[in-house]
This record gives sequence, structure tokens and C-alpha cells, in this order.
Amino acid sequence: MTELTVNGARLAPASDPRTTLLELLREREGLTGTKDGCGEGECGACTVLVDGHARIACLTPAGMVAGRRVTTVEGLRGDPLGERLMDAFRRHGAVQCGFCTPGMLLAAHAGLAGARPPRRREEIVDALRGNLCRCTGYAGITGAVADVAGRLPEAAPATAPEPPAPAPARPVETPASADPRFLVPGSLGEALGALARLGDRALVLAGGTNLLVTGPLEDTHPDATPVWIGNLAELGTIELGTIEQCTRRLRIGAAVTWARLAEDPLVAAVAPALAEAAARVGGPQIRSAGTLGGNLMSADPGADGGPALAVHDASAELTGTGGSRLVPVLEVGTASRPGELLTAVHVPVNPVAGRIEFFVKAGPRHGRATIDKVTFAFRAERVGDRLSDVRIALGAVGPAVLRATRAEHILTDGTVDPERIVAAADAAGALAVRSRSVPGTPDTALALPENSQRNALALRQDMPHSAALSGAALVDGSRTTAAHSGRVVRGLVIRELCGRLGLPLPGRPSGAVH
Amino acid sequence: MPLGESAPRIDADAKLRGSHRYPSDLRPDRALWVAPVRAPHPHAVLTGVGTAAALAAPDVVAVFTSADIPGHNGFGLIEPDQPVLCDAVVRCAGDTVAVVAAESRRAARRAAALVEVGYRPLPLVTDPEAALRPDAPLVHPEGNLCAAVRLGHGDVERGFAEADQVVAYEYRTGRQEHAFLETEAGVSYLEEGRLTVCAGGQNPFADRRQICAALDLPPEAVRVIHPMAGGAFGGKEDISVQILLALVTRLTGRAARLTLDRAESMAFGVKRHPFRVAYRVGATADGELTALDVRITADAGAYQTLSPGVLGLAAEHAGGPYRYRHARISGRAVYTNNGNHGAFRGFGNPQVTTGIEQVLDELAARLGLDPLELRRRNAPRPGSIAAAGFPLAHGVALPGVIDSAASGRLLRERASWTRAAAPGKRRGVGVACAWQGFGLGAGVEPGAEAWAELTEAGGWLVSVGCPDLGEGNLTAFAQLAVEALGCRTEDVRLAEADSDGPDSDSSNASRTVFVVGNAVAQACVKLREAVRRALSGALEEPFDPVEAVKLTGPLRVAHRYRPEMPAALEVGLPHAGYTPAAMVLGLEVDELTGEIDVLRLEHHLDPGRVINPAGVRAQSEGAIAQGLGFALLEDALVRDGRAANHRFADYLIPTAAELPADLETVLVSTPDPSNPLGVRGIAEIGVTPVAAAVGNALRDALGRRFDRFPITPEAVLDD
Repeated sequence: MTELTVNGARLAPASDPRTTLLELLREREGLTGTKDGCGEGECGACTVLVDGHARIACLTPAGMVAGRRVTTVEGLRGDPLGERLMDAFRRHGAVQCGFCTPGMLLAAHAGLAGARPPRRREEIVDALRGNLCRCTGYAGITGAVADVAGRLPEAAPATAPEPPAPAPARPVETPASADPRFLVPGSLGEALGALARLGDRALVLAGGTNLLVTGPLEDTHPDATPVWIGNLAELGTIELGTIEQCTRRLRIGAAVTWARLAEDPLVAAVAPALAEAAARVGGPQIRSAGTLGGNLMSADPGADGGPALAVHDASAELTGTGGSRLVPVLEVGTASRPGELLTAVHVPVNPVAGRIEFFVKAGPRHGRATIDKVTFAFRAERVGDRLSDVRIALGAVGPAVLRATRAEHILTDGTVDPERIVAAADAAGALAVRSRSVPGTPDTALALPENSQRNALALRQDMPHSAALSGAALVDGSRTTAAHSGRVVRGLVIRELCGRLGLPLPGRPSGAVH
Repeated sequence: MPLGESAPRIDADAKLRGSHRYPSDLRPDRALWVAPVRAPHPHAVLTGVGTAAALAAPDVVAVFTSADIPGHNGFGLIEPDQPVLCDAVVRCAGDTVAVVAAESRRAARRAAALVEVGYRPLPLVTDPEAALRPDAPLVHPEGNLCAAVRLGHGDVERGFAEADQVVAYEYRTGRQEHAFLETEAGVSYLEEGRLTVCAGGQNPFADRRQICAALDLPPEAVRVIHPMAGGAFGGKEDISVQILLALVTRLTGRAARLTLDRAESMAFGVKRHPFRVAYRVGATADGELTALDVRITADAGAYQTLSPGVLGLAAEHAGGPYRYRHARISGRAVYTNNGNHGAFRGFGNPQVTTGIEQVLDELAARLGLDPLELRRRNAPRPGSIAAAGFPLAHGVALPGVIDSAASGRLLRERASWTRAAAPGKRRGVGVACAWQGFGLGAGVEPGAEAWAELTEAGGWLVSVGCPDLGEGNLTAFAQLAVEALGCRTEDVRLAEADSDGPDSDSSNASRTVFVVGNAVAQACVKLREAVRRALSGALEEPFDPVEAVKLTGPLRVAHRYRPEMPAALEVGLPHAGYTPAAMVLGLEVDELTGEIDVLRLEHHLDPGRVINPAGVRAQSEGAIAQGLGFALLEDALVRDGRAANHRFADYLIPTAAELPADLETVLVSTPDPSNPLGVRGIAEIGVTPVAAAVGNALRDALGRRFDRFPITPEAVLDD
């Protein structure tokens, strides 16, 4: 394996490339400034920079950072932006117990040194969204980052001795590796060859943000061979093309990250719901690693990519040694055959004058946590006071992403007014209730189809010492009933459609003065 | 930096640069990794523990069971009733039945799964009210009643007869997880033959006492150090990793490490007690409170830990900082198999304040009185009798914070701000007051020892026994030392949290600046006098320690400060003094999704004399964030005795996005008469009134009240 660079020093590669970057830094290198807060990417205490971008060290196998530049909190010493941040944290009382501090500093650094440094409070909050703090109430931290942000030059981002690489237009190439504990194929062909050779033992890995949530690969999948496809150039492009019957399509590589989806102008133009969904996934650390392909192959109905693509008749491109084929995107989990990889998603380019398209979610923490949320994607064409080609997709309300076809029909059936919207909302809500009320399906224990490329959500293998924890579903803290999901779906449909169509809200009279 | 100024924290630099070593960062040479073997059953008879397979696993050095414990197989802050390693019965999921020591963390965990444990399940007790029925299964043979309390004064039925309005309110509160960012962690090793445990904790002397009892060692044979840890909030008062580490080192002679997984910490660590509370309060037409009747049922979980104290403090504070003609407060803490419940910032007070402050709000509405005015009219004066029945010698400094809140921005802008809600949203503003006793209560507060030294190296050294858990007490001590010694900040060093140092008791109960701070200030004054005497005019003040020590040699002063305590009514109450606060909170509810956004919050707080304003604000802001979690998000669910949500993915704590952009802590500073420094404890008060303020703001927005906390979007949409 190739060595990696940590804080400017070249280090020998990990003896086992499956070892997490967190374990490598803390246990082998003694760089204990990078903290271990949860081991599942939720707290952000282990945030480091990889080529200037925030990454979760506990979800990053060391094999993924071979040849890369890693910066930990220890490496901020002498870095102008790092020193300014540390000074501001000190002055703003942003440090209490200090356990979240290194992760906060690095998340702030990545944001401020990036192409679009956060300046307004909402942007600063978003830059820090992937980092939990239990002591400060965040006021000192956001104040400190705002202080530094306010002193950045207006035009150019801060210069650091190790400026972040610009968001790569395609994955940075990592040297191929044939290490059987962490295969890094040099091309798609090599990857497919490996899958064919390995069969069931192959564990396809893109960003790692789902697969490593249950623990380091050597513990959770000791007998599998991880095949890392996250850096394959063929899987990392976003391009317009003409495929099949001359339909213009946007082809999005399966290894494109949320961060790129959120920023890419083509995605924003062709599939704005997908861009909005991407911008609201986790925090920047997750968005810089998690991929669209991994999200879809997780077959998790709560995954945000599904509804955003379901309103587009998008197709999944599955590639095997014999070539590629397209399947409907929502069927990708069940349609893929052994040896096939999800290589891209194709979104038809369908320019419409009066297009309305969006993605929203609701729930505790505004649906940005993984539990108790509802996701809702919408696309339609508006002609005068009518809607046509309406597509409504619902996520996290049952065992699969749903198209609310009855609600779609209601909306296209006549002039759109608040009453019609309520009727459609009622239908969508009822669908959500039915879907969540599948007999024998606990509210959150969602059945996942078998697939070699799925993530580990269904494969939770608790560390043996935690026998007392096993048997529990990965996410088992749901407090919401099916009826509630239905009401939230109904509410989202009414709120968003009335708001976006400029119609008054119907129903319960509000005390507010409009 | 002088008193009253926002001195930067003395620990900030090491924490910012990643150089501070937290308990989970410590890596003693050749340390064994320790893995507890935990019971999956919440209630079962242990029928056998087989260790052979685990012992035969690679890299395993030892597997210990209850038979290996040299001393008393139990720990607990009050009663040592929780087995170190269970020998007969497990009473909650996660009870430890064996412990593995191996050469790597992985090996230890794998071997832990190989320990064969036989269980015969017993019937579960999961409802604290059902647990008191005569036919209920017993968690402990003596019965399921863990503690009971009855307080009050006068004749409460007469009080209700005298009332023109009576409001009743019953509700439940959630089981809140501390969610410190660093889980329970530590190491142990032999240092010159002496067993040393270096772990996250809140009182090295309490830990040492419990370790020594379990290992049958005299105090001088064990040293406990608490490095600055990644948060505690009460959740590190109880023993977690300490005895297991000490046992492994004692029996193997090897150093040992143990850091709990997040899931392990969340599933099995102590939690805030879930409460069921029923209030009835009566008032006359002109707003005089005539009667208070409160009944509290606290779920104690499987072991005692601090349940009697939590219940007592809740009962003490249940009436709020007000006078009543008659009051009756009764409470009980009941054993169940629902995990384990202990200390958490606020210590029972948030649970009851959530009730009384909503009841007063409702009374004010019915009486046509301004809610703050109702509170002002019933504020205690010096000598008033508190609801629990004890005299408040100094009253409570409530009127000042009420006046501050009444003239604050949010209440002034209330009408226009509330009207500005977007379509589909409703805004509401709520107020809530609170008081929080500081220091440990009567009969429990031992005072604190602090040492002040002129060191051989020519510096001033202040030693305290209490750790800094992130609250910044060391910075406050440094400021107090600078003031008392008349020296430069850079000449003062702090040493803390070592059982070889002075016993300052624990970092808890909003007590360290109040008790230990006074001890530090007085120790430093004594040291300065001692130096002055020794120098007999040879140097001018302020003394340069480098020059001074050349003439005097090293000097050390040990000083113990014991706060003046009122007569005890029950063990742990009343308190030496009470910190008052008034909170004003503005929120917006999405009528269509049930989502609640707290958009504005003002915390009007009287911290007494202020040592470090930035430090006070930091404590206020952090406590408010935890209060918002308690009010709106956090509940560690137990289903059939098993933790249901034990990860940050499903136990949600507030992120930066959940905190109001407009968050202000207003300090109304009047010196507290209870202690020479005039300080009040402020570490807990911020969490206490938040849920009530949220409840009152929701009443304002929606015209309804909620009887279950946290208040979820589902509850909002459920009419």
C-alpha cells in the first residue's frame, strides 16, 4: 500500500488497510487530538481534513486515504486559518470540556477554506451540523466561527499553507492495490473482474458512510473482501449525454458524493430535488464521503436519494462483465444480479417552462436525523392554474420509496386550488399510513432486499461483548406511529404546494396574521 | 486577570491544540484491554458463568467473575448495592457478570462473547406504580420502595378551601441521557507498586472509597486521578470503569485500559430519573398562593445510586421559589428493571419545575394576572417559609430576575414578534422561573479543603480535589488565587482531582465555585499572610514568588472551608442558598408538521458575585441546550427492560441548528449572603426552567398543554 501524509509527515501505510483512519491516528501514531466520540459518524469528534475536506475518521478505512494528505488538530499549529480559529475559540468561550473542539475546528477550517466559505449564521450552522457538542450550547462556537468568517477577505477564501484541493471534478485517483484485505481496482473492468472472482465474498464499498457505521470492516465483515470503487474515474463523472432513442439524459456516476451533487450546476438544472436532498444529507463530513450509489444501494427507504430520483423516471445503470443495462432506479436493490455494479444513475433531461420541483423533509431536528423523519419529493409542470405530469415520491414511510399516484392524479384532474391540494394531501397521507402499517413490520425494522452491494444496515453485527445490545434493530428508537407519518406527509404536501403555488393555506384557521 | 472579568480559560490552549490527554487518550505501556461481559436480561437469576472458552481465546490474559473480588462485591454512592460482578441476580440489562482482560481491545471483546453465562429470567418490573403493588415482583428482597419523602407545612385542604382558583396538572418527564462526548473511560496501572486509577470522574475520593472497599485495600494503597474529561453532567459520579480496571490491575499486575463504546455507554449508563408528577395549586383572586399539593413518583431504576437525594431535592424544590399558605409534598422513588437512574444536572429539579411553572402560568391566566406578576407577589422574603417547610433565612433573590425578564427585549416585543409568524406557523412566548439550591444540602455538604503553596520553583500553586469537567472551575480558582495573592496570572498554577491532594469533595451540585472557591480564596489569603510573616518586611507586596521563596523556603497552607448550613429538614435539604432565574422563550410551531423551533431565549440569572462572566454565560448556554433536549427531543426509551435507542443516530441531542439564534444570558448580579465571596452556584439552573418555558410558550401558541416530555411533533399534531 502507498504511504499517506499526516500533518506534512509521510507515514507508513496501515498494516491492515481496513483499519479505520481514527484507529491508525490514535493508536499507532498517538495523535490523540482526534477524538473517538461514537464510532458511527454521528458526533463529528473525529473529523479530520483529507486533502482539505472534512472527513469522518471513524468511517474511513485507512486504505481510502493512501496517498492523501490528512490534517489533524495537531497539524493546525502554525496554520494561519487554524491559528485564527483557535484564537477565536479561546476568546469566544467556545471550549468547555473540549472533547468536541478538535472536530469543530477542523469542520470550521474545511468550511472557511473551501470554495464557498460560510458567512451567514445559517451557513455557519450548516458547516458545523455534523459536530455534536454537549457543553456549550454552540453559541460560543458559532460566534467564534462567525468572527473568523467575518474577517475573511470578501472575494478569495483564506489561504492556508496546505490549501484544500478544489472540490475534485472527479475522484482523486488512489493507486490501485491488490491487497486482498482492501482491493482498490484501477479501473471498472478490474472492479468487475474482482466481483466475478470473489462472488459472495466481495463487499463493495463506495464512501463508507453506511458500511462502517456498525464498526471497522475487519470486525463487522472479517471474511469479506472490501472492493473500494469510490475512486474509480468511470464512476465519478456527471455528464450530459444522449442515450437510447435520442433522449437526453444526465448521467451521474454512482461514486459522485453528496457534496458534488449539492454543488453541481447540471444537477441543479436537471434534478433540483436531488441537489436539495444532497445539500441536506448529514453534515459536510458525511457529504464529502457518502455517494449517490451507496445511498441507493443501501435500499433504505429513508435514504434521501430515492425520492429525489423517483420523481424523474430515473434509471440505474447496472454494469457487469457482459455490459450495462438500465433498470428503474427504485428497483435497483432487487434487480441487480451477482457480479453487477451500480455504475451510474440516468436522469432524463426534460426541460419544462413551468417546472416546480423540490425535496423537503420533516421530523425531529427537521428530519435531518435518521429516525422519525418523512421525506417528500415533488415534480410537476405548471400551466396556468393547472398542474400536469405530477410526480410525488415519499420516503421513510414504509418498506420502500413510494410514488403517491392517487395524489398525483388528483392534482392533475382539474384547477389547482387549496381544496384540491388538501384532497391530494389526504391521499398521500393515507398512502403513508397504509405503507407503514404493513402487518408484522415494526415501525422501523424495514425489510431490506438481499444484495451484495447493500450497506450494512441489515447486517448489524454488534461487537460480541455487547451481546446485550444485539437483537435490536439498528435504529429502534422510533417514537412515531404510522398515523403520525401520514399526518406529516399530508402537512408537507399542503404546506409546500400552497406555499410554492402562492395559494392560501386551507383548513384550520391560523391565529397568525397573513 | 482580576475577578469579574472574562479571563480566558486556563485549559483552553491544551484542548484546542489536541495536547490535553483525556482519560480515553491515555495509553499506559503494555496495557491490557478490559471488556465487561454484560447481562442481556433485565431481570434474571444467574445460574452459572463459564470462563474456559474465553480463557482459551487468543491473547486473553484473564477472565474474572464475582468469585475473584477480594472485598465487598458492591458499589454505590450512598449504599453499595450494585454488584461489581453479579453473583446471583441481574437487575437491569447491562449488569456486569464477568470481565475479560486481553492484549488488545479486539481480543478482549471477542473473548467476552465467549463467556458462557446461564440466566433464568425473572418477571420484569417496568412500571414504578405497578412496582408498589403487593404482588409485584421484587427488584430487591427488601421491597421496591427505594425512598419516600413527605414535606410541607400547614393544612393543605384548608388551603384549597381558601382558594378562588385551583389548577391541577399531571405529567411525565423523559429519561434523559447525559451524552457526554467522551464516554466513561480510564486506565489503571501500578506506580511504585501502588494501584493508580486514572479515569473520568467527579470525585476522586468517592471513587477511591468504593475501589478500596471492593478490592479490600486501605486508602493509602490506591490513588485516583480524574484528568479533565469530556463532560460528565452528573453521569460520571457513579462508578463505571474504575473498579473493573482496578480489579484487573490488582489481580494481573498489568496496566489496563477501558473506554466504553457509545452504544454501551448509552444503553447502560445512568440516566435522569423519569418522573410522574401530579400538581394541585390554589390561589386567591388577587393571586396569593394558598395551597400546594404535589405527588411525585420517580423511577429509580435497578439500584439506589443517588435516588434518595434526587427525590429529596425534587421535593425541596417542588413548590418553586414561592410562599404558600399551606403545602404538602410527597414523593417516592421506586425500583424497577428499567436500567439505572442517577445524578444529572438539575438533580430532580427540572422534572418538578416543569410542573409548577406551568401550573402558575395557568393560574395567572385564570386570574387575569400577568404571569411574572403572580410570581412576584409570591416571592419569598427573608424568613419566609418555603413550601417544603423550612425557613428561607435570606429569602430568594427572585424579584431582581423577574424585573429583568419583564423589561427584557422579548417581552417588550412580544406582540409584534408573535404576529410575524409565517403562514402555517404559530408563535408563542412563555416565561418560567426557577430556583436551584447550590452546594450539597444540609447534612451532606462536607465543605472543601484546598491547598495554597509557594513552591520551591518560585511559583504559586493551588491544589483542589475536585475535577474540572468542562465547567471552567479551575479558571475561576485561578482568578480567585490571583486576587487573594495579589499576583500575576502567569505565576499561578492549578493542580486538581488527585486523591493524593486535598479533599474538596465532588464537582457536582453547583458547588465548586461556591464551596471550593471560598476554600481557595481563604487558603490563598492565609498563604499570603504566612509569606508576609516569614518575610517580615524583607520584600514589598505584591511578592515576587521567585524572590520570596529564596527567603522563606517553600510554604504550604491547607485550608478547609465549611459553608454555614441551615438546620437539616431531611438528609440533603435545605441548601445554604438558592440561585434564582427567570427565562423567557419564544418559539414557532409548524401546524402542519408539528415541528417546533425555539427561536428566542432569554435567561435572566442572578449568579451572585460574578467571578468570570464569560464562564457564567457558557454554563448558562450549555445548560439551556440540555434543557431544550429534555423539553423537545431526548428520551432514552426502555422497552421490556432493554434500551431501545442507544446511539446518536436514534437518541437525538440538539445540534447547532436546534439552538435559538437569539440566545441571551442576562446577569443580574447581587451578592449572595450565604458565603464570604457572595457567589451562587450556576452550573445547573439553566437546564431547570426550559421545559416549563417551552410548555408555556406552546400554551401561548396553540392554546394547549402537554402532559408528556419531551414534547414531540406527534404530540403537537395529536389533538
